[in-house]
Amino acid sequence: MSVAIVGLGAVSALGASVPALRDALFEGRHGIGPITRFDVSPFAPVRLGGCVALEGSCFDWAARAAKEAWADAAPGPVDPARVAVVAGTTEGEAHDLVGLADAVAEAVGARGPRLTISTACTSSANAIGLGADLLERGDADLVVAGGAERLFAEMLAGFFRLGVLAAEPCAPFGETRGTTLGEGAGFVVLAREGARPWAHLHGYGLASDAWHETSPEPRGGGIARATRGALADAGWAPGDVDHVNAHATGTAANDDAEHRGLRAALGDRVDAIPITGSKGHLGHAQGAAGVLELFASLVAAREGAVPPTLRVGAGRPGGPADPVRGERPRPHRVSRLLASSSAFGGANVMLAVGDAPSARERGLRPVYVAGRGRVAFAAGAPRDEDRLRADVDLRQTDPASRLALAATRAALDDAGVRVRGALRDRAGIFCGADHVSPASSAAFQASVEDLGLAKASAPAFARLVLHAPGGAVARLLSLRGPTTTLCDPALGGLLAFAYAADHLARRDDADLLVACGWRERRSDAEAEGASALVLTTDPGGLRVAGVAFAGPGRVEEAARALGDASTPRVAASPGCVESLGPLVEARGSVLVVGSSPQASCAVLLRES
Amino acid sequence: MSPDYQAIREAVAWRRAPELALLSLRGDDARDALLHLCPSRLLLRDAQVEESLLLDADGRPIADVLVCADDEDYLLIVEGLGGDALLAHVEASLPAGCAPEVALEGGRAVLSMHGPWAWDLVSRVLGDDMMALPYLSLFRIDHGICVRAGKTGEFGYDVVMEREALEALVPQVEAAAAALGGREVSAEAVGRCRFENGFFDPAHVPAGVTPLELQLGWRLDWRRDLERDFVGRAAIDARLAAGVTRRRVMLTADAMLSGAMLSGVLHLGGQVVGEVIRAEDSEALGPIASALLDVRVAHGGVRLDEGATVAAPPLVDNRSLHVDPRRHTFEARDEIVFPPLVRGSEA
Amino acid sequence: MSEIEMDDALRAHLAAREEALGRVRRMLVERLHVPLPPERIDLDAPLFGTGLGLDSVDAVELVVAIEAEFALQFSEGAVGPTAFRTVHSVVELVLDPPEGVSRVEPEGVEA
Repeated sequence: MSVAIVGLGAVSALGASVPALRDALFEGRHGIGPITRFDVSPFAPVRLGGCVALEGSCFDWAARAAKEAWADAAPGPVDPARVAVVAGTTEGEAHDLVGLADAVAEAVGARGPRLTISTACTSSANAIGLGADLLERGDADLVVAGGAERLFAEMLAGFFRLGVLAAEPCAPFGETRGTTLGEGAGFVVLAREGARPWAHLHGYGLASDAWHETSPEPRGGGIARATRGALADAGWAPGDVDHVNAHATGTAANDDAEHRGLRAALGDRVDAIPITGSKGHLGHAQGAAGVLELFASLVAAREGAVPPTLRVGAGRPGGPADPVRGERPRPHRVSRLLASSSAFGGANVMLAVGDAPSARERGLRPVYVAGRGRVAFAAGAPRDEDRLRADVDLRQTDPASRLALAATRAALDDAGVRVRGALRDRAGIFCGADHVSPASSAAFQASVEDLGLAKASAPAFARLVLHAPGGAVARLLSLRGPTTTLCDPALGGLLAFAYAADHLARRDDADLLVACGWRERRSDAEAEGASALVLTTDPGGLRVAGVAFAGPGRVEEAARALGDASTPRVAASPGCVESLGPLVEARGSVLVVGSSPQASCAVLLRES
Repeated sequence: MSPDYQAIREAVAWRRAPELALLSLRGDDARDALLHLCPSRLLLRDAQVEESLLLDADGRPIADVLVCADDEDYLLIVEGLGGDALLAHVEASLPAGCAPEVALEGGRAVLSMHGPWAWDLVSRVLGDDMMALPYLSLFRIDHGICVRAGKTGEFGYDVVMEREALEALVPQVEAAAAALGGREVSAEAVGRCRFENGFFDPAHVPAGVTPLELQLGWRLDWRRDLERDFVGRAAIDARLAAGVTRRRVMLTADAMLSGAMLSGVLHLGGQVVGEVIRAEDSEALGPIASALLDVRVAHGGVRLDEGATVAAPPLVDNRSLHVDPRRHTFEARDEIVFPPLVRGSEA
Repeated sequence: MSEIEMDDALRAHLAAREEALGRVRRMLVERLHVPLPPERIDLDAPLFGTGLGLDSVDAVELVVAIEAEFALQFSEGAVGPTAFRTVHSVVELVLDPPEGVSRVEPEGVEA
């Protein structure tokens, strides 16, 4: 992968631009202070956040950051239809997730595909990775990628209830345990080349913990797999890495697990390189954390330095040997860095970023559809829980998770695959969905109304991440490979399929990926269900001959990209589950096309 | 306090556990066999561990079992039934057509560690990662696995390894335990601590009881709509239909009256309401006992004629509840404020 | 089974225990989603890890559930982990709350 990062834009607790972030970092200032936008008295003694000083929604911040990145990139004339946007967020604004990508697209005049990743705190890092894929695939000539998040009372309540917030400003890898939440927006402009690029994305890795709703796998298995995936994608050896910007939330569980995972993947190299946690400056900006923290390392690297880990002090037993103590960036030449993100729901992302273009050529593996599964309840029909039952522990799961699980199990059965042994580490799940589980939303809201914010339901909160059902399926079936969730109101399932097929084709960190679209009804008057397909690299059945993404209303463009005029074409019905319908039903060669207000997508299946 | 007791309750303790039998179930029928042999839900994912039982046809618990999920295979750490008797039970119990690969893992043995600092001991011996091992989980290690379960209410680890490798480890365990103020302890000391916590002990199961009387209903799968026929299920269903009239409870007593408690039969207002299962002199609590009591009076705070009072186990406030491997170190242990081992004893 | 004769104090004690046990069982099923029939939740069953299988995320929910169900308010640090080890210890906690636990005035809730 050789993708240049040609522009940066940021709105964060350190100020409303990248230079402001850079200056704060080099002047030894941090952005953590009392939260004033809403009443924090229910959460005493927690009252701090890494807050943005600007008014407005996180969509406004994102538009501003995107414009800054665009101006920084200073691209020449470009066809707007060839500019893609990939945005990551946990909550967006008032449960509107795709509005973030819309705001960014409008800010820079992009008319290419607008894709949304919602995997909680890995969202923006994953978005940058997917953005690079689009560029490399040729679906776009420029990509604006990143993420945004705004801190609000319910979000603080959820983290408070999980007991992970510190009363003092957080100290990644330090003696104080607990994190401080933050917010902000960060976007990069990605291009195939640039006059003066900030850096080059050499690769990235995705992996699931398959462990717990909110606790990281204690040995950092997910981080280790994401790291190995990123190294393999970039063609790096552990010894090539000379800096890590860690997720390092400051909680006991995360920081210990993350360092163990880094050691598992990098070996003794972890003791030889500076490992920075940037949340002491920025707070935990969640959906924007990955991109903003990457910026901390990029602006420092441009001046031949690595950013410090604030308040790390003597550090914890077993923590990094060199957490970059002190208040200011420390001179250190960085050629190749890793930036990690981990999320509730068990998603992990590792970005591999180098200072020079990568010369690595990538081969493509053939990918086949090995199995299909579906569960559906029509509007008005009661949900038949017997069909959703499984020989796994379903306590504290919501209907969305049970629907996704039932479809996935059916697809795996259909494929005749038992995921076990070493295959578990190389099997993953990509989901597409529109909205989080209404049942979990209602449970959380009811707890807030009945008991107040300070006693909101922690288990329900943990399920309010769009990726939660994907994470639950990964956990319950021990699928420890790559994982993600895309949000799109009409194409979720089809986009997840296309991303999964492309990931499997261009990377060798997995042998099997499930693509699943799910939807849990908001009322009995709505239909609900899930569809899943098993993709493998084992020959047999229909082959995925190509996938393509294009801007909204540009189905023809996407179809043309696959260069096939003779194959029978089927238009996918709108809906996260429905959009997978033609693929679930396909028995011969077919070109499936779909479009939504955000994007167009085409998938070509051929008899092999 | 005796040195063994102190080691378990305040420092670290270790012992070889030859009484534990290791039984593996492998192959396509492993899960079906497990669900037939053990009555629990056992919705285990890879590397998870669950406490279960072996029952006889009368529904009486005959062994305490830790079921360890190793991908799709299972390792059962069995206490109460060993060697040929265990194999015979398994072979006699499996339904026709269910043919897992069953093996007694005689080449492997178990070394157990207990105590509020046992996590430190296991980390010193097997590596820092062990500190992160969650309760009822296993980590794979060279030559075997390390299981975190525990029988004393303190941090507890079972290191299951090839015998020679395990013996080679013993000097390190001994040295590390000594550095943590601990020692090798007897089976009896572990058993007494287990009793103080009120935990199930397969060596003390009265005739005629099922898990229902022993308050081990949580080790049974209650999803009654499932087509599942574990050994002893018919007897348990029959007991439920007839009504469960007795409940196993823990009793504390005045030292003066321990002799009367040991007599066996328990009274309330002159009426017979139960019988003692086991009585011990606890180092922390004085005389304590377990008893089968009429369910109508089997509630905390009920004082029997013998001077014994029904109490909620665990009867001690284990220090392990107040030690956090992520925050505390053995060296700085004096900074931790531990409540007294026995509630109210220092009031 | 023949009737056990007992004095009023003991009868009241047992009635209070039975009632509290019933409420704790119901609370565990309804609020903590323990997957057992209420009458099969043993008095001495452990709550966390083994036994009823609650985990760390449930721990905070349990406290809130007890407060709501029994109209109690726990002040910070008033109740140590010992109180939440078994169903039985929760029964004792709600019947005889330690210092630092206050009764909430009923607001249409039967306390």
